[in-house]
Amino acid sequence: MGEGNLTVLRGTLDLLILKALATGEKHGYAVSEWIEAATGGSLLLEEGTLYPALHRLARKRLIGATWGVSENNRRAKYYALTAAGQKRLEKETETWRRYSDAVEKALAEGNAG
Amino acid sequence: MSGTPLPPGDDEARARRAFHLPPEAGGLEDEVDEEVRFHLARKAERLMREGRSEEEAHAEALRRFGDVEKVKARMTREGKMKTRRLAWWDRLRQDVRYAVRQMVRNPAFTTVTVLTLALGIGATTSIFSVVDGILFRPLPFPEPHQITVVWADMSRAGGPVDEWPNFGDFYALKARAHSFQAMGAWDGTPMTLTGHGDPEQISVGLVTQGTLSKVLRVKPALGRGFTPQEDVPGAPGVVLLTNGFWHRALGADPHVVGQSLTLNDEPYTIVGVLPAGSRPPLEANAEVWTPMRVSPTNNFCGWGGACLHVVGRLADGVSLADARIEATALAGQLEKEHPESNTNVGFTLRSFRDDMVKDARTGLLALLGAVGFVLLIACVNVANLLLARGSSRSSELGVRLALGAGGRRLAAQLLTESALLCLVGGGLGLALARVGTALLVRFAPPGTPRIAGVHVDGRVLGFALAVIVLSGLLVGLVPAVRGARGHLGAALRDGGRGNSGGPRGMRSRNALVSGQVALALILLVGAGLLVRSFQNLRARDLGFRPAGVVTLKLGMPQSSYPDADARRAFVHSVETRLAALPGVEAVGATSWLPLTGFGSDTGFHIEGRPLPARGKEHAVWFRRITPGYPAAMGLRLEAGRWITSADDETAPRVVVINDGMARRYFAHENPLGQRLNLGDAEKPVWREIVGVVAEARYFGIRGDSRDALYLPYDQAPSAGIFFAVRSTRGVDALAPEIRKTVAAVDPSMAVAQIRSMESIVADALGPDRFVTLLIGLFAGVALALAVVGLYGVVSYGVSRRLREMGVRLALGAEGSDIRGLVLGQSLRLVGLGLVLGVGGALIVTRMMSKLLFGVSAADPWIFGGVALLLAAVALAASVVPAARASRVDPVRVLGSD
Repeated sequence: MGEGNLTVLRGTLDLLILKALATGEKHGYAVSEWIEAATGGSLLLEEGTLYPALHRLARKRLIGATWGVSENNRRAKYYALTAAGQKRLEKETETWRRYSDAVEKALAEGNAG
Repeated sequence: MSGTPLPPGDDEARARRAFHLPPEAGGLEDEVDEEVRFHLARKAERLMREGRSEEEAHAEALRRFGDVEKVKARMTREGKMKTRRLAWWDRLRQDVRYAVRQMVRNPAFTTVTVLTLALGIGATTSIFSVVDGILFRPLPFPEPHQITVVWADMSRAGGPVDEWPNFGDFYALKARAHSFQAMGAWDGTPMTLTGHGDPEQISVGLVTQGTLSKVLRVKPALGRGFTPQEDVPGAPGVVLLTNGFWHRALGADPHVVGQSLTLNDEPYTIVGVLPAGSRPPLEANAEVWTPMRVSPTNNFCGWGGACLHVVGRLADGVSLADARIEATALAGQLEKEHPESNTNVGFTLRSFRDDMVKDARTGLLALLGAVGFVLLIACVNVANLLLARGSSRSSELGVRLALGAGGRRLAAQLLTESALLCLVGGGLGLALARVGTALLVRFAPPGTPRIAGVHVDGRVLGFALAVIVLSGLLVGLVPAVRGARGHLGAALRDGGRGNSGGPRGMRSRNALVSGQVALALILLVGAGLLVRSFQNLRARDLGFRPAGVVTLKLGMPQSSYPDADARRAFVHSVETRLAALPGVEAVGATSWLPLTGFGSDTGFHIEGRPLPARGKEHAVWFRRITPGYPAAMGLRLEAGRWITSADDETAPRVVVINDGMARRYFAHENPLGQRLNLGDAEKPVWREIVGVVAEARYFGIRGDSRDALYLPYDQAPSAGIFFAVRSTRGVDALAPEIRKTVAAVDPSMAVAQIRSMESIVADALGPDRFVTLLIGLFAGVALALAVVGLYGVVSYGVSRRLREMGVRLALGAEGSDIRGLVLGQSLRLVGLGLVLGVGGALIVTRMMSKLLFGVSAADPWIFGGVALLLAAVALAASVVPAARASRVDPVRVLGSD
């Protein structure tokens, strides 16, 4: 666990998974690699937490799951965004932006004052 | 089989799919495991590519993953939650698919059950739609429960509880009763409409001001209602048109308000048109409404009269019970104030709707009850069929239990099957109900109140839905519970021959059959009593001979026929011309025809006897007749002579009384030669009794005899007159000639209601015929269903016990012993049903005693006859299976294993 790495906030993991799948169908491992690459490795993800989250999203039908064959010919479970998942992603992205803007503004105010 | 073994579990998975069982719970954990293993392997590969040793890489991958077991547990939990939610839908889909397949696979079974249910549900819904439309649905007026009818209660004075009140009563109640916010009086009369095509007699409703606007709260669609100034004696005539009349006679002319109608030669200004569909149900046939133009001091029916209908609207917050208490108190005041007319007179208050339908109520409720029985029997039949099939499927069910399907799961599946059958049957039943309702409305007896408004609507659909759900439960519950109990051992021991119903299965079926027999007996007894009553009614001596008699009704307007001479001349002229028509045997005229609903009555005093005390006067119905009438109507003279043409206006006054009156007042003396005064005791006009006639049924075919007398028309000519024409030709052939004949005498005279006397009699029997026919039909259906049910159960019982029969035969039993065994068993079932049924019927038929005529509700002949009939039919239904049982070949049934 390196210095300066951030633990993923509860709730934002779902958002990151949806975003990862928005770029295409992926198995769980590929999702973890996408998150690592997309955040420049600055987010520390306990990789195990990814899977219950994937299954929870699948239960809510935000993503679909099928068994397929991976690039190196192994059986792997693939996840893909559903239409409902796509909508949720857009909404959550918007919420997150407003949330972080607001927090950012508040913190900036504190600095100035 | 090839050398490569199938992956373990595939066979089982296929079997599970084939038998509609959930996938094994272990599958989920395997998948989770595989997914996690894949992740760790890929992670380790990457770490190795980055230069770690294999051992280090695996350790690092595990470290970065976190607690593997915890993650797996959470994944499994999510998976299970998903499965559970999906499972419900999946199971339902699966059950429905499975049920559909079962239905398709057994087309005969499906057809029989669906049709049985459709019949039951369709018939029940049809009858309900009629009963609801007539009895239950609120009247189409604002706050309909407030509308109350007021009758004079003469029961303490030996009269009816619902006698017409008079203006004395009406104005007193209107002024004093605080329970009512508005009160109105109404009456009806025929009038001749001229100036719109041929002269026509139409029914006119007369109301006091406020009856329509304040009591019923009807708002005219066009124009306005009546004003108080229009409802005073001498006011110029005004009319409100019903929507139907406006369309029929005036082509729905939008500028009709302000125009004039000529009724009985008097001009009436049209002030408005009533909205469509709110025909005031007061005077049912009234086409136009006009104010009565009366006042407390100037009216046609004062204290002591009986001539009005009174209807009121209860004040807000006042209940019918409150109003009754006040009305009783007011009746007490009026007794003191007007002892000569109101001694022992009370008031009867009824909700308007109940009052309208009071005659139809018992018959309709009997119909609803009867059709409910049919539905029950139909459900029992289907339940029985399902049970029998459940038993023949017990090996299939057994295998599925063995594969791990829970009892509850099987029950759900069986329930789904029965629910689906009921849904399909119910859908078909609804289609039947639409047709059935239309037929019922079409063939309802004439004069059935509110029948025009009967239709299938949301209320009826809601009822039908409830019936479908209920019958689904009724039909499915017993088989489902039996299925859930799971008789795994028995099914498998049986070697899948599928004939193990188990003793409990047989017991349920036996109980159902006995119940069915009981229900059928109740219906058959009810139908038997009604048929007997109907025969008695038809056989009742009418006192006249309706066959071959054609009748017509004429009204002579005051303006054209102002006096007795004009009326006499007109009646004689029409009579003479009608008598000259070919095929006519006799012609007569009278003020009232039998069975047309109304009459006139009068008080009377017998010469030489003390004048009766006030309030205790004797009353008698009277009819004016011409000399030809007794022959035309076929009345029977019992003593003395008939009225002749010599009894004209100049001759001594005479009268003919009926035998009831003769028995009541002249029990020990000869009525002939005695004299009666019908009018004022101060200025008596004595009429000699010259004849006694057998009573003719004037007021319905049921009911007690009523005292009546006949006066010579010439000695008291009335304006309204019926003619009776006895001929060898039918009404259709005669009607055009009758119209021509009347027009030849007076071209402006309206001819109403040319009808055969036979159709009038048929109408009088209409309600009885309707109820009897339908309940008879239901009883027939019930009998057929019960026989089918019994046959099914007995023959199923036999097929179950073929081996036992084989053993018995092998051990030396005779075929007749076996036959006796089977017949005895089915007779025991039927016997139990008959005992239960007789008990039930004794209770049920007592409730329908109002419908019966000339037969006791516990008539032993009908009870005995129906029980015998059921026993005989049951025996017949058991003979075939019994014969089959006795012909069993022991070698074959015992060797077939």
